[in-house]
Amino acid sequence: MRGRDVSRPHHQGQQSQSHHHGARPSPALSDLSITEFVALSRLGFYPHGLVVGAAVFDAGWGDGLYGQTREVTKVGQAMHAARSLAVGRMRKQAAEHNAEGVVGVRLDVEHHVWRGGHLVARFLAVGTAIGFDASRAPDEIKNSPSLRVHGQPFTSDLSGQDFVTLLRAGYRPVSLAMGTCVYEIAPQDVTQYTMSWSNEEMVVCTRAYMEARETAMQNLAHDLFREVPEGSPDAATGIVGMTVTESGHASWSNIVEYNAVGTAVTPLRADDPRKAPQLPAPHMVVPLDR
Amino acid sequence: MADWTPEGQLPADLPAHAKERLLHMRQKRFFTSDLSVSEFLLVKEVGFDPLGMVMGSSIYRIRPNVPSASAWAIDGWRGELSDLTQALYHSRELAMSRMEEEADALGADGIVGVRLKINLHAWGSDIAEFVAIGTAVKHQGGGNFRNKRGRPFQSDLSGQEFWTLLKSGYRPVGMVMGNCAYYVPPWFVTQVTGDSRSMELAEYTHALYDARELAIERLQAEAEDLDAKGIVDVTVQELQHSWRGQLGSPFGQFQGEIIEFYVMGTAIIPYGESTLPAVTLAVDAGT
Repeated sequence: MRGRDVSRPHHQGQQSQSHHHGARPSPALSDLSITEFVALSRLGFYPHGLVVGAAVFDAGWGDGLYGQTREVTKVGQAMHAARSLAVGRMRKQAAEHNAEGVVGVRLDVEHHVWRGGHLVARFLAVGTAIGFDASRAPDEIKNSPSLRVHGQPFTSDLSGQDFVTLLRAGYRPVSLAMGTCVYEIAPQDVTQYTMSWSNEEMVVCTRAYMEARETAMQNLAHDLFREVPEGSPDAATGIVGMTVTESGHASWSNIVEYNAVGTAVTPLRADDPRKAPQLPAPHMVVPLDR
Repeated sequence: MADWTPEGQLPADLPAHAKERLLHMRQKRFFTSDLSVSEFLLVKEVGFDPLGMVMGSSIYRIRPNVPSASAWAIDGWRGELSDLTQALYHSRELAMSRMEEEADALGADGIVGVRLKINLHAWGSDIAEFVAIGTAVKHQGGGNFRNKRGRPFQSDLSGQEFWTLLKSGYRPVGMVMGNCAYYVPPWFVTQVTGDSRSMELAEYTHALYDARELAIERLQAEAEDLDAKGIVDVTVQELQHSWRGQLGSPFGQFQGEIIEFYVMGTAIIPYGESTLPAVTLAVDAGT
């Protein structure tokens, strides 16, 4: 699957050939709101196109399960690989559009049961590729360095406004960081509590769920440092807007999947003039509309 | 609650990966947070750095035990299901104290943006998971912001609210809560059947009042314990959970209502001078 280049379906060839290197594709699609577009354009960023990456993955459940309360590593890794593949393909498209990075990335996941009980997951990553146009940027930031990470466009789930605020505050997005953990709970670990009449904590289950969430968050950090190693100028210093979501699986009630997602950020390069000398003090506003 | 552990040691009952994750973040000076970009900047603006996203959870088997009508008559029992109140309280407290342990292990001064969620799983209607999630923060100047028990403060304030609170000369000392699980027996509701006039169901009203007051009283007691000057952002929730109709009590299916009143807020104390900027009045001309 990895060997074949499925990141660029046939139709798209023409679109990306119609412009030469460094130029903005025209017309460029985007799913930016008007406010996002205006916020970005004031810093010289313009959309280079709507970019999409997809991956359909067969996680082949049956053989990966243990019947015990423990992490199902094989399935978790497959789910994570599929997400990374979808985001990687989206980023590749952005690179073909000569983008600096991708904002507003949404990751849609659908679980289907196909092929006689196999669990098939469909991942879709969608975002807007943006590029920096020095000729339309304000004079003081015309010579800003590139925001690319190791020559590749950055990825982030930030809105246009959040992206601009982040830059003015002296930070830049590095990549959409993701971590997954799939955990199995043995039926007997549930029934040992439901047999009794007293109200009590289901300690084994609690521990499993806590462990699963922690592992997802831990995997996120590991994956991030593998992609951009510590000590490199692009290494992330933190994650903003992190969420840990739980997805159950309809036909597998004893299995729970956790996904941690957030945007990794790092300080702007020293020579980047985009950092505001000092962020303006926030104003307090009382709306009189109602 | 677990005893306070000095910075550098990790509490024993955290999951293995939690310890690994917290150590990793401390060593690499790498933070994680569920704050939005604006919240991140505002928290930094008032002098705090985010250290890491922290969480705690507790899965609890909670089953109400509804007394029979005769028990009601004999004990002069007023309607609170104490066992249930305690179970619902304990499960939340466990989740919050585990989250606090993680923050403590990071050497945090407090936790902002705490969200307390109830997840129901497919295993049964009487099993609930209580989850607490927030972002641990530390003061850049090294000031002591822990509460009087030496524990990190918790607050359910957003980054924006946290900024406004500190600017107005207060700081959070802890998240406080109170609850009360109450049983309203069917005869409170049916006693007036057959009477065609519109009237107040006085017993029913009284029961709800009683439950709400008990919950708020407990909330206040927790704030007083922390020597707080007040509680902000109090929310009162009326929860029905999912027992109705599917409950196997020793007395068979019960009738009537079980309600939990749950109140939660952030206890605050004065802190420095108010440096709140002048308020700008704004009219949105577009609407």
